[in-house]
Amino acid sequence: MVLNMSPQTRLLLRKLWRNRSFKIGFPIVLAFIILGLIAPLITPYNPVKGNLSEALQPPSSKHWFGTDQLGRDIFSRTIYGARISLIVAFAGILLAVIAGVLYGAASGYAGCNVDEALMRIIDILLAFPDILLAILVAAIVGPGLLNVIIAVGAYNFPQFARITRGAVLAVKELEYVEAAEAIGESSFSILFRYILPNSMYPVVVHGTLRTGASILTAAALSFLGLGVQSPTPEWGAMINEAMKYLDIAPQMWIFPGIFLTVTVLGFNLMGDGLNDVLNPKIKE
Amino acid sequence: MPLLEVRGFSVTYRTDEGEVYALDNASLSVEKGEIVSLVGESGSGKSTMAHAIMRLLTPYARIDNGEVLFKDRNLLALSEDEMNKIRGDEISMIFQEPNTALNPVFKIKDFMTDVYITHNPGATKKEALERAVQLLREVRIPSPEKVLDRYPHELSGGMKQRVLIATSLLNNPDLLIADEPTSALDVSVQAQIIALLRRLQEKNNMSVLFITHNLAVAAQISDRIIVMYAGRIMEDAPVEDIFARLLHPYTKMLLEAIPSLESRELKPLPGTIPDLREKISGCPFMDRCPYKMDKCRERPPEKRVDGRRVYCWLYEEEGA
Repeated sequence: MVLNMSPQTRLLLRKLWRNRSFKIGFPIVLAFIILGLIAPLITPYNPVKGNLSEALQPPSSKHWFGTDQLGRDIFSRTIYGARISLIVAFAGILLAVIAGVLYGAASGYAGCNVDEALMRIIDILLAFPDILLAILVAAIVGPGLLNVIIAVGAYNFPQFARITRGAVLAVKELEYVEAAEAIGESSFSILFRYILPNSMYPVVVHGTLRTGASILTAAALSFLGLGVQSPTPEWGAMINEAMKYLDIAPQMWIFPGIFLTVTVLGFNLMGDGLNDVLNPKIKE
Repeated sequence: MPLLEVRGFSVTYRTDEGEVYALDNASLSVEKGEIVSLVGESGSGKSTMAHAIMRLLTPYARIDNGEVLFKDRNLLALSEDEMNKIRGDEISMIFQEPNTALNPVFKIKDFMTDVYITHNPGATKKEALERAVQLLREVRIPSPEKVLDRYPHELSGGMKQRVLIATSLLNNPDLLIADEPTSALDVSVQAQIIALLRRLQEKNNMSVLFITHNLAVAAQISDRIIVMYAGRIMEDAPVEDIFARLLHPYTKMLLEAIPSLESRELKPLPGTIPDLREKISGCPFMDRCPYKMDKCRERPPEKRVDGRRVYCWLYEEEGA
């Protein structure tokens, strides 16, 4: 590559490419992202407008994945579903990362009693099973796309807070932080320019691992009626609608189900691969 | 009036196993343009002294009493903002481990210009870069412009320590605190760094507080040596006097422990450093001292012998 890469980066990329999990997961994730981005270009029909005269049709050359109870094209809806999942997962994780990093950094950097108090709150949040916390938040803020993002952000937040806090605790004892203090840098500058940039590696890995899980959680929320609502083409919501037509129109749940499964699998494989390569504790 | 004067300084660390008395009523002074070495074993309190002067102690440390007078201001009474203005400007510090003392995500130029601009708020990036190049030349770094564009991991340990020394001198400090700056480097690089520090000190007429566990290094670089043991000052004397006439039994033992070419035999100091979790009422060196007397159960007072400070009952009459 013509890019100016350091030897370390090149070695890392080569190792990633040799990793089997990453080699399978990464293309799936890439395909998912591309599908989400170019959805309007490749879908033959409007995903929310149906033609009732063509309702509940099996797959055909006209409707590749068939149609649902309102005559909407399932292929178009499934592809658009990638876009919704993409938005929910990335925005939700971003929200969790921002909130978690700030919270964890404050906790780790302040130390002593502040740290104790802030971490006991995280302990409480971590004691909830993931999906329960997400349901709780979704129930409080109500259904809708933005609220699913908030729910995904909220249930991931404590993990990022804990991870960041741990990394900050380790980095703040390093000598260059002391050196920064000795040259008169302010606490603000030390935290944001010295400690945080050097604490980001575990956050990045965990972020990828959690993205797959978040897609699944968002779909589960929508499936339970707490998340994105119909007519928005969301995979969980589509499967929910399909329940009434389980036997007469299996195309309604099979296709979104396959996409959901493959996407989550892709993210998990990619995350595992990243962890294998980046985690210094795992030796080849 | 000395540039830096530490008076009756006591520092305690709170730990899970109780309190550790790291510094016990220690006093020292550094004159303008003087190099003073603080020598002692691990755990003697020399690093605590350095960090306490900079007010960089961990939150678990407590200053029980004492004053740190720098240019007639008590540093312990300053606000954190006022102290930040002094750090890196009037007092600089360099560290033991150059390999970890540089932020790995900053290029050398980002780090150096940042330090300069922090303390010279009106300065432009260009001025800061010029100043950085000038100082990298002074610490004898070949092609400084190239080094400025590097990340820390691309430099060797000796180079990094030079960069850190150059950075610490950016703002012409009055006092440089060097906390074992050569311990992590190999011997030939050590000698270069010491020669460099001496030369820069003479050129800028700066004062240096040099912390080391190595008496030989201290003898090479300093004008005056202060020997510390178990959080106390044992002896404080000009470098030519301390080796000419050995006063304190501890200093004697330290010198004898240095292996020479003739004897070929290592003479380790018998005994160990006392447990600092207990407050020591008498002389802390008592249990290892060949000249132990009954009086040593009481705290030895400061005695002046030939203008040297020594804390030992042996010199009671002489100093009176």
